[in-house]
Amino acid sequence: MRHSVNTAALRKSFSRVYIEEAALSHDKTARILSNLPDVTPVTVKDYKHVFNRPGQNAALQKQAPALILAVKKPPYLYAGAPVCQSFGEAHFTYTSCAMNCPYDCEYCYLQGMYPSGDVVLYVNTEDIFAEVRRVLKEHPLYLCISFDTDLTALEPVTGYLKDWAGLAAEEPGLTLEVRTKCASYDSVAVLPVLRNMIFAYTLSPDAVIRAFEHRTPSLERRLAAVKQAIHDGRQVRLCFDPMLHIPDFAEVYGTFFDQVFSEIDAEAIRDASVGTFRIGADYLKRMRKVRPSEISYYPYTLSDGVYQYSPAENTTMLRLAREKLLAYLPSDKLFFWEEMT
Amino acid sequence: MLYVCAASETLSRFPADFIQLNRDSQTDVLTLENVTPDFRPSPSDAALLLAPVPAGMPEKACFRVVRLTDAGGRDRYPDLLTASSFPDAVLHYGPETAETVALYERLASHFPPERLQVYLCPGDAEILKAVLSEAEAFVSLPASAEPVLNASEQALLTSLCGQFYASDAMKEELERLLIYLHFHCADPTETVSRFMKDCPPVRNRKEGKACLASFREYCSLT
Ligand code: SF4
Repeated sequence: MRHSVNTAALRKSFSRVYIEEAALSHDKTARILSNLPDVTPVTVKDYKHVFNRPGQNAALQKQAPALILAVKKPPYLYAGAPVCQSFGEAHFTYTSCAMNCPYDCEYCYLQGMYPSGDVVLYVNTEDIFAEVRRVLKEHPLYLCISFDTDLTALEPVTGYLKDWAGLAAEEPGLTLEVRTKCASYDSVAVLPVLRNMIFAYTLSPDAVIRAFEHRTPSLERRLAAVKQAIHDGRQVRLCFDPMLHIPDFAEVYGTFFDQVFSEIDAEAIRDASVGTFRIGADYLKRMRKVRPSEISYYPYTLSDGVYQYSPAENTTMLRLAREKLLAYLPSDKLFFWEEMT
Repeated sequence: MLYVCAASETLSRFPADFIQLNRDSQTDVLTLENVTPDFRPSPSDAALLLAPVPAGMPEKACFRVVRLTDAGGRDRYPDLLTASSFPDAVLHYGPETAETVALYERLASHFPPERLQVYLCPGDAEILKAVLSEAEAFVSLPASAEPVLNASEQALLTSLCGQFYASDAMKEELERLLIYLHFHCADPTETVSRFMKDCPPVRNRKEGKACLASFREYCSLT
């Protein structure tokens, strides 16, 4: 049975909880555990003893992941990678208060990045916040807080979005991007409506969701969440990224773009980003090992250490997206990832 | 079925409720002494062998699946014994050495290496449960670590390599393309023969390379 992650499922979905010794007395640890009443945690000296141990099968662990609570060590902020869309932001940065996510997309680069399918939550978010405040004294900051995870999907357990919203409310120089595929709007509904907190919803055609974005909500449910966010006056970004080169690509994506904008008021969204699938060479190598699939074995072109579709394929895909989207959105609201084409 | 195995001496150190606690239709606890030569696990069965954590070994070693490469641990922890003939070397300690190792080897003779995991595991109930929940996922692994390509696809690969005068690098690429087709099309053999029908004859590696380039493009368009 295909199901999307919801609060109850999430609470049940962690097969086990490990807590790093240093995280034991942390207030976020207590908060997270209070949201997981049925678990008996196992204490470990260092979270890496569990997360980085050899001989793991991340794809299998995804089916019954463990949750690991740990204390993050510096650095707390990272410069955005070249494969990421920067939206023209000068101080494009990301942070990681969690590693891995409850969804299971076949194309997810995290499979090539982490040795484990378990989810790590860093409990010392106050240290990350302090670093953000320090940097804000020097310049404004555009910060992606949900890159290596889906914080909205994890919100019923963590409450982290609420904390981030609190920080954004106090710091006008800070702009947050919350990337998500989560359609459960309850956790978002309780957050203050802020101009500097962008909810970036990743949308894909249902055929792609069914085939490759396992355990994620359907397009219909994601669109319903987008509509609620817009209705509440939130900053909403639509992410058509990654687009996949599937059979009948033009027809599937053409219909998809029309469907999205038949339901979503294009004027009400902040902007949209478009990108085709790309992945670092090292990550793809590892992905092929842990998860051989038509995604990992597609005949990509290698360019500057990044595997991506051939220039001809990229051009065709992006041209279609551009033509379709320009019918709904002005060009200054559209951001294309096409660095390599 | 997942067999959770340990020597009786080891099992006796585990909390009394452990065995009952974790028993369900998919998991069975097997005392190593009870593994007889006529024990016949099915190909889909797997075994998780729990071996005690040697005295003095740091906590880091717990939860670990022991691999042959860990045999080097013997230098650091001199009271460890390595059973070198064991597929996934078992580190072992204490006075029960040779006999227990023989039991480990007997268990190993009933399972292919990829269906047997060995965990060094302290007798703590919670850690045991953690190890077990992982092992339960492990049992759903495919019955053996066979290559992705099935026999006819392997034969197809061999034949294409010959026809294309393939170098090692070309062979690797052909294999990747066939794996892609394996997941992508209902009948990769049919897809390849459709391509080969229109492919001009290949007389040397240079022409083979050109043909491989068109095959790559053809695969991405299927
Ligand atoms: S939702 Fe994002 S982070 Fe989560 S599995 Fe999918 S691609 Fe990866």
